[in-house]
Amino acid sequence: MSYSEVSDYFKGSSLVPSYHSVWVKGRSIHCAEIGDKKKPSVVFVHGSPGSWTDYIDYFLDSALLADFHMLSVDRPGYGFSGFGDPVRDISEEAYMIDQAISRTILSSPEKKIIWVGHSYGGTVVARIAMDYPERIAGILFLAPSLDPELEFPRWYNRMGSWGWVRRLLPKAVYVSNEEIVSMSPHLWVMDKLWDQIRAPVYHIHGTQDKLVPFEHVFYAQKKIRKASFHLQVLEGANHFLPWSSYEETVKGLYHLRNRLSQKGKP
Amino acid sequence: MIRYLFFVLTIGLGFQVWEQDSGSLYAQGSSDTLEKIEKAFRWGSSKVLKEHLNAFVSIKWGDKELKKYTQKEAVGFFKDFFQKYPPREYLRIHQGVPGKEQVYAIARYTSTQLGQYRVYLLLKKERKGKRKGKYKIHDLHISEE
Repeated sequence: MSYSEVSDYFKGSSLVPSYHSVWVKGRSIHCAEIGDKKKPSVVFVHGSPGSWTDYIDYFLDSALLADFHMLSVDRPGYGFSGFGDPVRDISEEAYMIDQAISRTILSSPEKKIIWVGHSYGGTVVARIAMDYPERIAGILFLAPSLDPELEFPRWYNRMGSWGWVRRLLPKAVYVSNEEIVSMSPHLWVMDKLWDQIRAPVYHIHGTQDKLVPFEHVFYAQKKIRKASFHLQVLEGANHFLPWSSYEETVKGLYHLRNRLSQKGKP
Repeated sequence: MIRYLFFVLTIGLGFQVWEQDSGSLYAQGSSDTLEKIEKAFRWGSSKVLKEHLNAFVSIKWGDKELKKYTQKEAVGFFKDFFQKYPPREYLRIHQGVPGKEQVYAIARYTSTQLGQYRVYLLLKKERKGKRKGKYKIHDLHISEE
């Protein structure tokens, strides 16, 4: 979605997003921001492929705007964060996104954040929570890819990495394929780091998810031992939860925010 | 170029067919196992269930923390469970794709004690040994509806 298309989207709206491009590790990380910085901050991380606009409807929600300060990031390789140039290392990507958001965009680097990750974005959020637990207020997983036993490249992913096939693929599909092909070893590394997660986790997963199957839920529930874990099973729901299960997603955000207000503001 | 593309597509489709075929060999395996597990729940039989339990099973019961049980301990858990909540009905509501390495199922368990429970279970395919290809329960979560 171009800037002008986004502007059209916000026509008539009292608030419009502001944009930031932050230089981290030789790459520009782009994100959109909306709302009052004094309110609890939520960062949305999209799946593979995707862009910050995957969460644009949340930016237009007046109820959310009354209660949250929201950011949505273009993951490296997508949107305005070096489109077409993938980052194949989840840890490196987690570092880039965390640095861009926490150190530069938020008014206080100590402010804790509620992170929302859909699909591969959930994997990245998990890694951020493992590596920088002190900055996490809560995690909302939307059908995340977590279990290394379930994530391995299929023949078509490998074929997509072949030189001439790669050149035929649209850029976003190429980046997505590269992420999936290189994902498994990183998940095995993460397998040993789950105890680092201390912030409450709210996990939403659909039983009819064909892309990141429901079986991932059992792994998450087993691995997240040092933090509270709330599972929301959506019977019959597919993989595209940010759009198809908007109400449930918002409910998850409020669940995490309410836990924050019990503990004191971030 | 066209010949090369045709070659790659043929190989690709070949892989796809092979993947589906090898999957269907096990598809029946996971479905059979799920049916037997259903019987165990319907009959309230921890002995029948035992055959389908892995050496270690993670069980989560209600709000209690997830706990790892040995097969023997898990049998004990279900013996108690079936005594306290005798079965009236067990109905499978959802299940994952049969024949995959891991297959989940969700069921509604109704007890004669008027309680209704959701049962979430995860089967994994044995990768080696005598039981290679057989499905065993690795995770089992029960929560009140």
